[in-house]
Amino acid sequence: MKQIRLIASILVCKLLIFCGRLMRKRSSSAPGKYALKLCPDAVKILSKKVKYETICVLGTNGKTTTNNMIHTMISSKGFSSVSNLVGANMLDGVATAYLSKASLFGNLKADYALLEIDEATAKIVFDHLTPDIIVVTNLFRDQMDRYGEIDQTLKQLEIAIQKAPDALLCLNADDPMSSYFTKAVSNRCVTFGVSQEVAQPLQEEKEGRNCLFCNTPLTYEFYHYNQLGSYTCPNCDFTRPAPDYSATDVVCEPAIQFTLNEKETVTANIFGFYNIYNMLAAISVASLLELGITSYTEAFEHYCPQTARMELFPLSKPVILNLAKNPAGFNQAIATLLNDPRKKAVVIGINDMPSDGCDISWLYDVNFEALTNCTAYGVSGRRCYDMALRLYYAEVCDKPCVNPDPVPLALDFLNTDCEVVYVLVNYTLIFDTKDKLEKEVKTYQKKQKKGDKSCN
Amino acid sequence: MQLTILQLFPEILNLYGDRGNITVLKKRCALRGIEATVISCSLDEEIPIRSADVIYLGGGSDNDLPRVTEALSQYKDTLLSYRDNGGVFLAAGSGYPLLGHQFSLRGKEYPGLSLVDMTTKEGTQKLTGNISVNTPFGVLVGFENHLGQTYLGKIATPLGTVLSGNGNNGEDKTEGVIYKNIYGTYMSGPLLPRNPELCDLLLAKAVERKYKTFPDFPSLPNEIENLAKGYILNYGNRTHK
Repeated sequence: MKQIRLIASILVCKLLIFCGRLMRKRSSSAPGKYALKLCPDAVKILSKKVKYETICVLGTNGKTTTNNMIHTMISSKGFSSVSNLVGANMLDGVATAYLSKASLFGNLKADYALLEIDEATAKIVFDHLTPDIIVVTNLFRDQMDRYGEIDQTLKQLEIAIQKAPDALLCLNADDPMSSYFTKAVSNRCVTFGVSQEVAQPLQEEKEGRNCLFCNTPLTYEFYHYNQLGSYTCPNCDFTRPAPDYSATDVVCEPAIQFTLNEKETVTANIFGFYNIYNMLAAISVASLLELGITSYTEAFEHYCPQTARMELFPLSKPVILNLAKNPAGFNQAIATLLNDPRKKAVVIGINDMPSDGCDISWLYDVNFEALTNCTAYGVSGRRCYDMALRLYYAEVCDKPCVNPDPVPLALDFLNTDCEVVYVLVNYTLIFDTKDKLEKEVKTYQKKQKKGDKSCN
Repeated sequence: MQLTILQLFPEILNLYGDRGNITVLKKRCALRGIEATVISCSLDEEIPIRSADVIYLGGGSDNDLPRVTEALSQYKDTLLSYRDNGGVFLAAGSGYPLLGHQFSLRGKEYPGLSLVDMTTKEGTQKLTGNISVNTPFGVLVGFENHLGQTYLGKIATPLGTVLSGNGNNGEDKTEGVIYKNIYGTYMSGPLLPRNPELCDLLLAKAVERKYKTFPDFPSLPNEIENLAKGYILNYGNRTHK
């Protein structure tokens, strides 16, 4: 009976994905949702059929990137995997990942499972599957109306990890919220971190944290961003653990380069200081899995950033689309933009749909004050006027251009005195913006070809 | 003219972009040719209440609120005399219940500052979402996210009447409090950017207290402010349960 239910759920899932494709929709959660109604144990059954380890990536920012980097490394060694690479990270999305990979007879051929999982949902997902490695990238403030305060998120995560006592934890040594788990639970742990001070272009407000064990303010030798850095508690023995995977000699511009464990130089055509953490997390996992990767530089050559992580659209000038959905993400995006020496126009899009969080007060925790000297400013999304107000009070632009849709603004800005247009938007604006920009690129390339022909 | 704005404990009372309110107070002073001095006072510092013209108490995490009350309770008398000679005070978000006689948090009772006749008990469900409030000085909009349910006593006046959302307790349609020049509201974080009327009122009251004349501020266009406010009035309900 179980087997019949499973097969039915696989059928439903695959059928829904197929229908979704016909309607040109990205079906990543809904198929799993309906399939789970038919066979609530589908994930439980299928997750046991994965040949080697199941790796779960958790944390506020960098989950999708880290998961994709791990996927790149695993694929480069010829292994197969079950994964939710586009970031549908609740139980429904996880179910879609397993069911879409399974055969109609309920078999699953996969060497690894690579799953990013929502911090608050992990405690539910871990009832359905047993992770072998849990990565915690970082814990920042995010959508307080959804997750509650960060202390709550930490508690939820702790409950989840307690359900997987045998899992190996892979933690961010520089984040006291993440490295908290080196002491709070009895799991085995490895850590990664950036072991030297790196000059950041954005002097944002440092976010001090109290020790999670004794509530004394932590003291910092240096900060990277937010609460990340080299910290120690003056009162108890909580301190930044010496990372097992450590980056030094860090360069961020024009692309990332660092020395891993004082031995190997790793370079990658990836931008943004924050990505060093994602790379280190992926390297840690690859090393723990003993994939036998001889050169990480080579491994990262095959990595292509997924949707809207500083994604380039070659129009008459480059347009760069980036997802930024909380203060930490936005501040890092702004830092990356400031590192770009070209003349820039910028469009910022803010929506307030349930998956964005309907409270937008966090805009005042972003250091938009640093976003000076752009050639043009545009605001879009459902909360475009709130964003316009934010830029006004940041004293960078009194009257930005307003359009609920960021794409027409970006196209207009191509005609201004800039060399590149940055489009920074939050979650629910991403896919539509990307689709429209892709269409623009196609039209542009057709025109170029025609132009070339008529020249000949 | 010069005004001193005292921001209390920004290192912990910063939960919802609270620094936005300080930015707006400063900017709207500058637009009226008033020199604004901002003093950010951390938890372990002496609080210069007597030199303040506007005091701002923002929202913090539940873990931190008992420490905040403890720190402020040492200044109870100074705060009472600040209130009684017309000192301007704005408490927003989770800082708001501290104004009253007492509040409860995670099943424990804490004494408040008794600056205002009100008490806060803990509800069972968080009251979350966009909110709009009708007040004598215009419609205000904001975002609320609170477990506390506040009930005003006889000598306190609500800030306004709830048009949509929950307000003080989700029952009596009142939101916030005004007593003398003390203002409290569950609208958390940056409420002043979208509610310039409230900001201007606070500044005018502070000028009146310090310079003995109620100022005739030149009005500002508030164009984007009104558009941002319009969004909440037209679409804000969508997120309510």
